[in-house]
Amino acid sequence: MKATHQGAIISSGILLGAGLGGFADGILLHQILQWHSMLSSVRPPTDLVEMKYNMLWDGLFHAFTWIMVVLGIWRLWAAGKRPDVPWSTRTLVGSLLLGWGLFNLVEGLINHQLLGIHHVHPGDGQLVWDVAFLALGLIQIGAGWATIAAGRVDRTPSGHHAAPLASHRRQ
Amino acid sequence: MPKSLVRRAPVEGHFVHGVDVEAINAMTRQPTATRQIATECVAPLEGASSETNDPSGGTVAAFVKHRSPRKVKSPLLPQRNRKLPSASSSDSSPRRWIGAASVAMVFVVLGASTTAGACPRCADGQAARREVIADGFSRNLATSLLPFLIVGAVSAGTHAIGRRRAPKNAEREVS
Repeated sequence: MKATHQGAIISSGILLGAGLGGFADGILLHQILQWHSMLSSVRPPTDLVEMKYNMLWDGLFHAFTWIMVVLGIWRLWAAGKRPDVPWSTRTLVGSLLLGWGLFNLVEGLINHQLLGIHHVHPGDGQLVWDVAFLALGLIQIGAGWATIAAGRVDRTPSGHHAAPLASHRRQ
Repeated sequence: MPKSLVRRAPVEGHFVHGVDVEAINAMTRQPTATRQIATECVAPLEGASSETNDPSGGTVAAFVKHRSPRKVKSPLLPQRNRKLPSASSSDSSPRRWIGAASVAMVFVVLGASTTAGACPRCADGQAARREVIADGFSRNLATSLLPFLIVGAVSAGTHAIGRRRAPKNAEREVS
């Protein structure tokens, strides 16, 4: 039987990609570079109370990304047990990219453009940074989709290569 | 291997695959006898078990590994007065894990309370938490959650890609 249920991997990969992308955003842009925080355009961190206010919302943001990663791992684990799911590296990597790009696009559109609760690099030229962030998301989506499409030819389910070894041990 | 430890035919009682368990137990309780066991009994058995001429199908090897390979082959062996663990102790004992978990829990509680006690300018932290609750908590929470919910919905939508549906004729036959 050929495994064709690619969606199980794509679904879990999108969750994992969005979670890991959220962590990359939070760790790199919020904490290391300190370009922005979750509500830094609404409540600029000008004193310690405002800094702690934003820090708490950053913590909640990280909690949501953590939940996404846990859900993604759980779905991927379930997918690995199914014989109709192709265990394709290209599909997984593509869906991780797709999830990351999708998160950047949605988060950029809602939080940066529509609500304006924070911007990528506030100050002069913040629109350029925001548009570049959206463009990065679109590029990731395109690359992810292309990688998933390349992985459609993969039809081997999980554990396919382990079976001969197991039968050899029984002898 | 000493002949007193081995019998030629399969036997019952305290002999397991020809090895006198009671004799080994008695000897391993004495540190000076441990090296004798290592050189004369266990090492030949381990060598035999790793090859194909083990008639017990690896059971003897499993027995030897369970009883003493780490104790016997350990570099700590020359320490003559080293106290050997009793035969009833086991590395996978649930008590051991419960003990470790309890110690870890105590450290977490102590660490959390110490950190809370050493909080720099706690008044600012309390003020920030009050502000978070008072200043549109639900709205901000919904705003923070929205991108994740959208991505989650897209993820759920892609789950059906490539899934085979049962043919309609088969459904009719079943019904």
